[in-house]
Amino acid sequence: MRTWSPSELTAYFWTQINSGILVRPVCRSCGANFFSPQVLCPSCQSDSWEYEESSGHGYIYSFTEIHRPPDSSFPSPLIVADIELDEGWRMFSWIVGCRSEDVRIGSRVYVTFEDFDAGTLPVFKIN
Amino acid sequence: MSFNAAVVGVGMTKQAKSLDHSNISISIEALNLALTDAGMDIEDVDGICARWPGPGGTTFDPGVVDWSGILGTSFRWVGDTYPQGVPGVLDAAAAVSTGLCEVAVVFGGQAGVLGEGNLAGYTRPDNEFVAPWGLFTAAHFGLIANVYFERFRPDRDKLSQVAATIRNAGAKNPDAVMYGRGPYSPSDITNSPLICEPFHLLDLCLATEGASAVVITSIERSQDCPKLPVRILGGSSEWHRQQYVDPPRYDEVASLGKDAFQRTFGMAGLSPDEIDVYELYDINTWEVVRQFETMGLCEEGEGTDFIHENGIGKDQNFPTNTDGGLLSFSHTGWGGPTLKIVEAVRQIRGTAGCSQVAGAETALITGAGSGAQYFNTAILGASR
Ligand SMILES: [Zn+2]
Repeated sequence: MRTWSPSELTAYFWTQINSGILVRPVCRSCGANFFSPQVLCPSCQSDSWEYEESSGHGYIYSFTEIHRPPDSSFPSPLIVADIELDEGWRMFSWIVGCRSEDVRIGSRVYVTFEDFDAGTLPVFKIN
Repeated sequence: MSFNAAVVGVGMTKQAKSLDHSNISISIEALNLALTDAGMDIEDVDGICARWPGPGGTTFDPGVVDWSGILGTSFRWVGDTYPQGVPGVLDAAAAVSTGLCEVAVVFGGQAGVLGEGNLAGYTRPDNEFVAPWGLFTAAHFGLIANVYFERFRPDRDKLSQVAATIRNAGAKNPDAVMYGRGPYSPSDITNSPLICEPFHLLDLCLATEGASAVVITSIERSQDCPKLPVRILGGSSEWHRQQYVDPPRYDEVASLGKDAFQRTFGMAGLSPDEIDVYELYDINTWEVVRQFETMGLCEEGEGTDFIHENGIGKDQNFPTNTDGGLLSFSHTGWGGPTLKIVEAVRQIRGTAGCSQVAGAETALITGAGSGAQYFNTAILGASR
């Protein structure tokens, strides 16, 4: 797996992940949730936003089972998903703890945290 | 509006899984082949599409190619927004049309960079919201395609026929990297290893080495060149969102290309079914289907049936990716988009060898696609 280097903009996200908390930017001006973190809110261009804790609940907008991960350090197969969180934002993650036959577009999921050599990642399980 | 511009020279080096060259040496080899084809030399060139290090450039990293230095000339026009493929050709055509320069070159490729690993480096975006999940570019397209599959349930055999037809064209083309590999039946495609749903190995494009180049000048000056000039009849681009950071969604990119197609066909005064040769961006088989739908040849969800009924072989209704495309001919990374321009020019000149579509006078070329969140297209045609 690859290690990654958080920027000033994203460091808090990863610090919270290490504590088992999923956060996302919420705009103080217009209330929009967005992800990935940006300098300005993509809905109203305000720079006044803060990280807030997410419920960690959402659904699978789409997923793909990867049978040939980029290198052998990744688990295989991998179920990579585009998760729509209930607060109205999206992120890539993995669906863990089930077989791909049990995963559906639209399945309800919740966040959990797993430690890997490269660091702690937020991953999702089917409800 | 219309361009006062024509392609007067094309060049292509050997294409292979790996080549004992550098990016720069292979690119200059292609450029020299294209200039020879145009009956020109580097002193005739006063416009260049390239990542530009200066003078006045925006990229100063050590090792960035000093193009004016290495080519030993200076330029009247530089285009470095996206100096490859369709956008490069359209920028160059606009520069020539308006007189910013008289002769512009678009060229590029890669060599000596592809290692032994499973994936080319440029297919592995390395930002922190993608790389930790092991995503690669084919998986981004897979996430989009899976929503389409869920909604429209396309026939897998018919989808595999798309890959088989394009790959079988490459199997017969001595210049293709996959020459001699085939023929494939639809079940060969479907039975190849699953890489990321819904894509099997043979649904996906190559990562190879080689370079290609194009020379563009005004229609007046094109009359003095030795080969049949090929006019740029129209073109347009859509730049949607930054690619390979946030998840791309089917509902947001399904119609990517619709506006570009409409503008391009409008400029050329042609309809989608009047094109003789289609050189479509075949990063995977489903993206080809999506373009048939977005172009307006059929409705959303009906692409595999439409292609099955009409055929995309060189003797069928919609000859597509006649050289074998990115699936079988070659895909040279950053320079890859230019390969399709070269094949389109050869088709219109009637010099495409075993790939030749009889009597081809117009060609449609496309680049990028839904998973990349940008799209571009152009129509080339014989000077009449
Ligand atoms: Zn806002």
